[in-house]
Amino acid sequence: MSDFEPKIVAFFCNWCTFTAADLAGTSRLSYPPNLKIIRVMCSGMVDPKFVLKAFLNGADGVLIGGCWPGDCHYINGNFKARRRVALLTELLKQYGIGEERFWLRWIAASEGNMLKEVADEMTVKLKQLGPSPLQNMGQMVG
Amino acid sequence: MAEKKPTGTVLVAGAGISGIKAAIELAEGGYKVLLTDASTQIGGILAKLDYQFPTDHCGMCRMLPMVGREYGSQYCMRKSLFHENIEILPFTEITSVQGDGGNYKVELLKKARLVDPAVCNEMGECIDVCPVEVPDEFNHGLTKRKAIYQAIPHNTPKMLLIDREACTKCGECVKVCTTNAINLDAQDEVETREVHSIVLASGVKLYNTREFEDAKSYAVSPDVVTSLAFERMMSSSGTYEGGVIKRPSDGKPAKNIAWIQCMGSRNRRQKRDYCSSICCMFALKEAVLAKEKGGPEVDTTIFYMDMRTFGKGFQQYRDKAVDEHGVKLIRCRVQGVMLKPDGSLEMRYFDPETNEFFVKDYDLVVMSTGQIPFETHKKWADLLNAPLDERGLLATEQYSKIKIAGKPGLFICGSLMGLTDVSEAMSSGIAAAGEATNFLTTLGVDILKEEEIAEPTAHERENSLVSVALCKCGEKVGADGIDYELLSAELLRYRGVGEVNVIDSICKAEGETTTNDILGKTKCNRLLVGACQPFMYRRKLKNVARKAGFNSSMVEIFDLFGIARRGMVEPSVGDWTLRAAREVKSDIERLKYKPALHVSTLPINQTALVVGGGIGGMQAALSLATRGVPVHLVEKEAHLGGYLGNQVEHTIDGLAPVAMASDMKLKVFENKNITVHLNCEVEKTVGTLGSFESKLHFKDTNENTYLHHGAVIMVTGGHEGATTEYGYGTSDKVLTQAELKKGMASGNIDAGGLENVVMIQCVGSRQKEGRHYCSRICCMWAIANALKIKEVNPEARVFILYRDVMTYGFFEQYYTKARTAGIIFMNYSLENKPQVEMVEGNPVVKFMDTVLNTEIELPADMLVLSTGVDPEESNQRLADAFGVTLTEDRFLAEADSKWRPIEFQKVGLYLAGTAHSPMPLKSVIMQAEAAAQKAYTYLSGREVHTAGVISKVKDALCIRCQRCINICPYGARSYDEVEKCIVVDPAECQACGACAVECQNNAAEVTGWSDKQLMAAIDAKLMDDLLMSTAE
Repeated sequence: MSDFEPKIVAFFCNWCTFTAADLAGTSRLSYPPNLKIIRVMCSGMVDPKFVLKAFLNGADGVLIGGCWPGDCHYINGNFKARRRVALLTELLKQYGIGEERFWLRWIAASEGNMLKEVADEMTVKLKQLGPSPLQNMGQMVG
Repeated sequence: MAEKKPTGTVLVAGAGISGIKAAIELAEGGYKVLLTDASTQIGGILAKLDYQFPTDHCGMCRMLPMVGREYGSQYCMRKSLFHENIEILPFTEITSVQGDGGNYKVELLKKARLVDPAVCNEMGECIDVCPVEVPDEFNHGLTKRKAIYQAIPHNTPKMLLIDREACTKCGECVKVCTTNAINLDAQDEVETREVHSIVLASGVKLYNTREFEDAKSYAVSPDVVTSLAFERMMSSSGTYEGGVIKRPSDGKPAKNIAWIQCMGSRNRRQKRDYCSSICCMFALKEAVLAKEKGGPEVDTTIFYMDMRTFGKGFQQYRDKAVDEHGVKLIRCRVQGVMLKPDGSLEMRYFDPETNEFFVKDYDLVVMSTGQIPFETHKKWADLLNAPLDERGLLATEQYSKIKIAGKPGLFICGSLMGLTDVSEAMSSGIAAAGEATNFLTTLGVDILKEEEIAEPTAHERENSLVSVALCKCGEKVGADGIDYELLSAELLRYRGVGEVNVIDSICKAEGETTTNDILGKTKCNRLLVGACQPFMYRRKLKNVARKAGFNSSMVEIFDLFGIARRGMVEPSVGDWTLRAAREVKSDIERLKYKPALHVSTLPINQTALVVGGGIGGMQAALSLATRGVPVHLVEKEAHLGGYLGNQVEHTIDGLAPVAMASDMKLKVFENKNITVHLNCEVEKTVGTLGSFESKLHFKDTNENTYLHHGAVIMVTGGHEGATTEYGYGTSDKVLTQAELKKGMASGNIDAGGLENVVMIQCVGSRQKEGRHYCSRICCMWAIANALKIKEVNPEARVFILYRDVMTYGFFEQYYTKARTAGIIFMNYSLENKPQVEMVEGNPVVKFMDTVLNTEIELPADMLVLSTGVDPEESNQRLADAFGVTLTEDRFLAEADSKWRPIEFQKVGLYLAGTAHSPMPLKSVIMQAEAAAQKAYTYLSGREVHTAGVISKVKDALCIRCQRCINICPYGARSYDEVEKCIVVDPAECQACGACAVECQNNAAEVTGWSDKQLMAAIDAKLMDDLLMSTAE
């Protein structure tokens, strides 16, 4: 189990969380390479099907990072994300993907250290949990 | 052939937020901007503030342009700023200004950074080896930095530099630098530039504990910090690490924190008889944050003189801080701080509410430090040969906060006008850009025209084949950088990649030639470029591509080193190359499925509608009309002028609104570009930026007219509030400030016969039931009337009962003058309002005096009430007509209280003056000018370029459920009743993607962010790392 490296697909909002990821980089806070960052303009842009796609194609975890409530560049995109994530979490449970594999976090532009913490924490957690039960389902179906 | 006119160029000196805003506005208007800053970076004070009330988070990016946003940065403002028309020169001082009106020669001193950012590979090994440690200015000395350092942790590019004072020239950094970016002997450079206009936005110096004598009794320990330093203690890029607020001396958690207000300000003895205006809100926000960051058990106390919460929403914020967060406010001027042996900080204070003395220990004391403006103003005055006024500030024209007196083409904005909050910094920046534009239009200079290169037909229907160009950035990549051979080989094997070229430096001339050659020969139809600073070269590269027959949206550029290194601290060849390969693949996927983008243009009806014919409305109308924009000016009354322009002869600061209004009325009627519509209201407006149609209803004749226009400015004003409190209406001896003012002016009230006059402030204001806001002008009105009484009758006794005297900024001097004149100010609290009884026809005022702690009875000949400012009741109808919203207090609700104060969410609609919130005349004029500028930016041309990346409708898939219309936060989507389809307004749409997620049929899609692209990118990210095997 020890050599299991979870794959985490991270959808980061262009304005806050993506900046935090850059800041973590420039502040030389290394975070695990398990994080595979996909920049989106807004956390509210993350379609549930992107999350499903990620899980079906072998992601062991999905992290959505957005601006703090009230900070969204697009007024309220992060609230939309929050609502959607709540629903999707319930749905994913039905397929054996527990909420510990699907995270939504608010990370502001200056919170490079928080980004690192979240990335570390999620990686450790997923290492304990082991591979996703849907591992490579996408390829089986496809 | 006509001589080519020069392009209008403006120097904006100071790149804080007001300077940045002015620069962006001018750049959007097509002018060239030089944006300089004396410090090493841009962003000013706000670069240090992670949190701004009322959200207590950040929203800086909202100041970026909404329309035509692709010409500028589309990323967090903390990283940096980019706009095609703005040249940014940090670490640059202005050493001389020659010339006059419209023709200035400016000498710039570009200070040597000693590290060439164009060559630096940002590896930071130089920082590791530097042996010199000094306090870091960015964190106010709470942390240390090296002599070679990055000024702001967020900045991209990092822009390293060497602190010449700290550097010992030991040369260690030079030894480890693989790109020869460091030159320890580099010299400052002097450059002369010609500009047409100058906007000063330098801000002013802040009070600091090291320099000023009167801080000595407070700054007794490192745990006494300034408010800006405290801000860094709350920031993750400062010293905050989650959970606790650590005090600087020993890192112990600070559980008891006190703020002391007015440090440096409101101090007559030190010749600083002014209020710094923002510190009260600053302290409230910090106290709330301290609770949020340190836990609710953290005890926060603010010691204040007057809690000046005068702006829009400020009073609500104060009430929330006290009621919900438990922030304690104590009205007491603490005389000093004692350092106890255990490191705690002892303060003695008197609490007027309990009437007791206290001695209490604190872990941390924050000094709310104010501004020290005179030095900066003197410096500019000398440099520009401009006059100073009697206060020692740059003299501005009588009714303007922006225009420097007698110096056409020179303007100020931001904290140079007096410490400003974000909202005022924004409006002043826009207004300064407006005044500069106004000035430039009289000079006959040109604006930058977009290069008219026809967008070649895209090879959209062909199979995608991507040409990848990897830039080696000259010498930037050291031996331990990316293995280009390995990376190229790996990418070549990737499906959809036609060729991989490695270019030496794509940003240089030879790189451009190489790119041209590649594009000329290639069989591919898309180009992906990996280089170092994508935003710097994006535009240039896209032009190169277009010339070579590529649709510019088929060219993408990405930060090769950034993505390779993200999250990787230690360089190791395999890792970086592997990571770069994976990242590039997902970019390839995105590009492969990217459709060709076409920027849509909006036709513009170059006419404006101004609603409200008061001074603000007339100002906005005149500002646009003199620039050649036809204006419809709509007023619901039978005459222009509004409340101020018809009712108020004089203000305390020597302005004459009635005289000013009559002068403006003449100008309005004489101006052929302005059509005045009296006795009418706007009933309904439909349309979008560039083409609105409004229905005007005339009350008297019951007729309707339809107007067509491209933008709207709402300047509806307000009037003196009504009251029934304190016996008003029962006796002619109880009257309002306006009635007293008029009575004295007309001679109906003889101040000579008055013995005792009592004034009550905040009648029906600043309380939850009633006007839940400060009206901003009543204190000044009361003081003006009181001084007038004293002038006529020095024997008269005038008492002003107040809750907080709101004489912010230099209005403080009138407060001082009033006290000197013997006017007696007495404090009352909302819980203990004065009681008024009529005894033998005269009002007797009873109240609890907090200093004497006894009940006082004041028999008065006259009781004068400050009843505040009410918004126009027509605001509700206006909001309905335009589809905008009102605040709880029935003022118009702007798009964003901090960053977009004079805009509505809907593009093309603007507001100014008391329609926004009560404000003094000069602020009204400033906002009106700013609103006019916003409108002018779009109305000055026949069409407006929007953006390529916007949401689209695939009509064949659309089932017209209209859910996308409801979810769109910008109101960009609507249902076309005639065509029976969903339409998207390209100016409104900001491409947030909400509609695309909401749509169940994939009919809504953001171009450039389609499902197909993102799905493919997810695939690429999750693909097994093929390179692993190759590398091994």
